Amino acid sequence: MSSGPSIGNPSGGGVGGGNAGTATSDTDGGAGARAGASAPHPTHVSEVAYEFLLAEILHWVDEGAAAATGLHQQQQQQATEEEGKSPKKGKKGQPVPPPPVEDPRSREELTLLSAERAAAKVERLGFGVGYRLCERLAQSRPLLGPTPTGQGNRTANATDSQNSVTNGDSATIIISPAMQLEAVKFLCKEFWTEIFRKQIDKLQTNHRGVFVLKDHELRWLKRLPPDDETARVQAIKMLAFPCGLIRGALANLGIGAVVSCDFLADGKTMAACSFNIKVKT
Amino acid sequence: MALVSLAVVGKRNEPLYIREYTSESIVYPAGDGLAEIGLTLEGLMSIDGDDMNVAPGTESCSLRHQFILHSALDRLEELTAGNRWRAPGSVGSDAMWVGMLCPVDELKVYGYLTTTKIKFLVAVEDIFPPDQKQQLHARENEIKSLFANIHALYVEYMLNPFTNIESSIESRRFEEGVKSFVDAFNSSGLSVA
Repeated sequence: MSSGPSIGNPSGGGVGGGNAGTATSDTDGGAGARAGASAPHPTHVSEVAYEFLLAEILHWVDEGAAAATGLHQQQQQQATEEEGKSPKKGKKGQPVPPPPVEDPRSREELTLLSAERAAAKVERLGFGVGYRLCERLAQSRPLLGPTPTGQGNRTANATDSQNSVTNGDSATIIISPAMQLEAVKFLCKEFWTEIFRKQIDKLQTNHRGVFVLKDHELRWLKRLPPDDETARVQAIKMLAFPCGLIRGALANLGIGAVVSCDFLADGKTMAACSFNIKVKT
Repeated sequence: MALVSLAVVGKRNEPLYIREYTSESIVYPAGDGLAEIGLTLEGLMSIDGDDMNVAPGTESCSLRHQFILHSALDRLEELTAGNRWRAPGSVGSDAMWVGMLCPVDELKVYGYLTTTKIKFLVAVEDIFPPDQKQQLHARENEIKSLFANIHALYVEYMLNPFTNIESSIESRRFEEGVKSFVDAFNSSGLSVA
């Protein structure tokens, strides 16, 4: 890819040059890649490429997690049961892997463990991407400027440090609910638009640190067949990535949170989902 | 009008990047014990011994400047605690500009705070008498644009997925970019009387 993107244009070429994972294409979603021939031309990557990549990521993560939790070794041991050897002597005539530590764990437990590991890894990947993308998108956008007159009167009576209170060691900064709401709104609008080219469809909050974000049609899940069990499992795995995205973006804005996701799928579509954000206090 | 030192400070006030750009013309006041200690340490650390001129390849910032920037950080926190320090209606990099933090001896420290709580601090030599308002203003605008450029460099550094989050900045590209902006800033000052 030629180095095209201009620095002063965060919503356009900058994303294409930086994160290949979340680049958006120019006009329609199915357009092929178009390399910039002249120097200042921003480059583009087709959106669909990312969906393919995501499927491969899930597969790769599953494999890695299975290997790490010793699922394969257990399968190997069960296959060579006739030897009657304990796993400590597994090196005799067997390929490389070291003996598993937790031998007595059942197959089901290991499967569960490896699935959790895979989900955690995908979420971590999402965290990194969300964190960095937020850095870019917040580059020219200050959050919560001086409040307009209606709110301004209300806050004028409060102390100056209403929006962020620093503790003595200044290592922990408590963000007020107003700031949190601003940050989540930024997430729902600019951030989501940058990745999915649409905003979050519904935002609910209890004003005490819990937010629910509903998206009726998540782009990456759009192509899954509804009412299919394996598709549902895959979709749940895929949803770990947007959870990480949200958590990373909020972390960069200074808000520690726990994000979980839910399915709103009915019979018609698999793509409706909701994300629950619980801010750490 | 020489930019003397620059610091990039992270969310938890940890230093991500500190450099100084001294030239031989700076003379520290005689009785400044800290300066001597700083220079000695710097001499031990830098490749060319006790040369006061920090060679481009060496990565050190004298203790005195680190101390100055650190104290300016406190002032920056004071100023930005309230969230009403921004000029109303400002957008983009203007909204992140904090302004002059504190004057220290012959230096003035300026600050800049991004939305993601990254702080940029810059210590500049103060050679204008206080009544030359427009020169002061012109210099502030230059510093503003310098901050915007460094911010852009920082964002590009962060976009690299191989960098560690919240660790110090170690990138040749970032270093060279910052150095070139600082050099441009310094050389533009020489034309001002």
